[in-house]
Amino acid sequence: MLFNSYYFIFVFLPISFALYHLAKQNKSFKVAKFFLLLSSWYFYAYLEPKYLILLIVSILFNYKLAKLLLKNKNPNILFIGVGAHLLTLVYFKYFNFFIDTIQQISGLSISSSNIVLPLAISFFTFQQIAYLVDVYQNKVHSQNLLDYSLFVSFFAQLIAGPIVHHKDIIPQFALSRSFSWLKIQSALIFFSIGLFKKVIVADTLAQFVDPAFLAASQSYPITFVESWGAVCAYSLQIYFDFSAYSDMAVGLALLFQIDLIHNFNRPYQATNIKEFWRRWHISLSLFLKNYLYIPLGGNRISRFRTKLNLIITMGLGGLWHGSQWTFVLWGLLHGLYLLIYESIFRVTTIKIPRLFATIFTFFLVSIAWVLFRSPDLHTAITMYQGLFTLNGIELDYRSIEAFSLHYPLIQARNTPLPYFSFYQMYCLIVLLFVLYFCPCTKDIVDYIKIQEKPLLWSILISILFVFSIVCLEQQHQFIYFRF
Amino acid sequence: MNQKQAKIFTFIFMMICSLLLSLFIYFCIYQKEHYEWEEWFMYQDVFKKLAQQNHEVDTIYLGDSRLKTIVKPKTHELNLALPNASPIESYFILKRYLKNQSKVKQIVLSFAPYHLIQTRAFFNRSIIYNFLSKKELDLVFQKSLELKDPHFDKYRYYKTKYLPNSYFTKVKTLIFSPKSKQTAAFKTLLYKNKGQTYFGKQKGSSELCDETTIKNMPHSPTIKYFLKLIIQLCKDNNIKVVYYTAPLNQTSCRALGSQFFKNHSDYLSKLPLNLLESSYCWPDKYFGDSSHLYIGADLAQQELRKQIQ
Repeated sequence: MLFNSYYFIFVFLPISFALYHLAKQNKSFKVAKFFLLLSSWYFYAYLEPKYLILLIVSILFNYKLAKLLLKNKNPNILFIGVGAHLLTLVYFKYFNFFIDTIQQISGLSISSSNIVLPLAISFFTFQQIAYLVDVYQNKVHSQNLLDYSLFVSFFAQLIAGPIVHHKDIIPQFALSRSFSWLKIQSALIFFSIGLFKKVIVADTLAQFVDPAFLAASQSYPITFVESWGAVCAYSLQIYFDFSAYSDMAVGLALLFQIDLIHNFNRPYQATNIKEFWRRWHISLSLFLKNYLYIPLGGNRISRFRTKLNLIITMGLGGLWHGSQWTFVLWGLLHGLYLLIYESIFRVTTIKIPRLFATIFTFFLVSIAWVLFRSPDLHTAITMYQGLFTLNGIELDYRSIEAFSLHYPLIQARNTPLPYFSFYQMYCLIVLLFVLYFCPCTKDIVDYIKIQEKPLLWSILISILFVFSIVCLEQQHQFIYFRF
Repeated sequence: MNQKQAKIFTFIFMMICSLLLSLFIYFCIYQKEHYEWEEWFMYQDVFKKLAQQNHEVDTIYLGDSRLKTIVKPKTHELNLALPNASPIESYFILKRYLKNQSKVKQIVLSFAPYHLIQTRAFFNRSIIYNFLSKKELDLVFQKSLELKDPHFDKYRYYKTKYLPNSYFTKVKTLIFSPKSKQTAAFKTLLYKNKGQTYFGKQKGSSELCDETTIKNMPHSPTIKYFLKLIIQLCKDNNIKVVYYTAPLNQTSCRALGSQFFKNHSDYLSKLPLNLLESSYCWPDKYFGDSSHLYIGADLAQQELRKQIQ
């Protein structure tokens, strides 16, 4: 079930909301939580019925191991737990990737199996590993099966995060709080803005991104203007798509009076790559830092090890996104950016103007997105050829007409790609400015909350919501659903 | 804001959303003349013809857009073919017509193989255009249930009819490019040509027709049932029925392969119909788009008339 579907918005959500709050008011908090758990499992099963068993078994297994660890801090138990989770992840997510890689290297013909990736496996595996490690490190002192199951399964964050930490969520499920209208109000604003970002902005941008990458995958010589148009559009699309999902998840959790971590904080306003990672997919960055980079030794051992740890963390972070070399390379490229930043820019005394630094960071991030978006290395190379003018800078003849450009270097050609009209280019530039100057959704919600104008804001937000609902022509999956 | 103001916010939000969405859905379902495209006016035209009491008609053409393109009706003839119509719509058109008329001597049926297989058009046209009455729709769904036809389900019906995304593309088009002048011109032309219209006006088309996307799919049992009902209805009213298959372009024929046409012929030969001789494949140059004749339309009309006279 997608957050941006009519069934979710008009059937599933109102029923789960009503059941939870009615049970909480009339019966008990435990019953309410039980309803929420059932709703979450239904939500998961609606997408992947057969993998619900895997989710439940994984929860029970981890809970049991954590129980043993609470009694006896035996490292073998931790090893078994983490190993089992990683093996499951490797089997479902990376098995075919390994087989394909062995085939490519050795030239042997090994038949790969038809393994379907269970939804959200990367998210719930990471959350459960973190929980087990924290139990071992004495950061958890007691546990409850219902609260724990809800922490892993809660539908608002189950499919594509944010990767919530048990210390932030389980206490909220453990304590019954009084109903807050302020949270409901924030929930509606978060959800409406998220829906708008997904339906109106991200899905529209996809129309310019998908054909370009498809063309590149079919070795179509994609040109400078086409490739930069597509890459800029993708940089915007992935931000609007993923931050939309996160906004909607935060909003949905607030409907159940639960606060989730905010995953984005104006990432494209970052002035360097390190700052970008503090603002982009914050929950993943925190997880990688706390459960990979620091356990590897962080920056405490030696300069060389610091650099190596950084590269390993980013490479594995890339691999976490998907079982393709393009993801690994994307992670490694970001690792390289971070290394260069740490080695050169951080120690230099030269002050770079803020706007220039932001544009340069956006440029670096966009270059890396090519690897993230490309289905294979061949596509990425074709796109890079376009980006660095190796395929010329010819424009679609319609673009020439629209721009009235007669620059001798630019030649018209008849291309199957959707062209960027003047109006669309203008929209793209406006969006970039919006991203530079505009506050993030959390800031907007905070601003509305301090304003004493409920009528005005409710009208504006409801119009935003209705407009998005009406525009839901086709329900496109969120990009992060496949991770 | 405090708790009270947040409560007011939530209440107003819910009220406005409900009101705006209801208004939008009402507009989409009941105010079609303000935003619908040309095909809707063709359906309205058929409604109008059914309401007119013309006792002089002896030949009726029933079928889909391929027939609508071909036949320019003469005196005593009526072109009641509709774009995307399957035997379901045609059965109800004929039934409604025969309720008040009795001089019909001949019915010419013509459906593209696509409309004997696919049911998408039933939802995208008949349901969206409110073409069938509740009683008629009930009969369709009841029969499809009896025949275990998976394509007709009530959930899909409600989804198509009441969810706004079915209508949004057209409403969006209305907002961004109002086309009242074109619509008026189209209505005049449709009236002048007595229901005949062209769907594509290219000078030749080698695009693939819709059948190429579904060539291996089985025929819908519900559609077959309604085709038989048409035949039975004609028999009950002493009307001669003939069946004509409009041609496809050569490129599509090649893509479909001979087996597809064999299956189609077998399907038709098992029905009590007078099948007219026609070549399934015509050169690309006769077509105005992937599925419809343009330059070749008159030629097809001559061929058809020769056989039915």
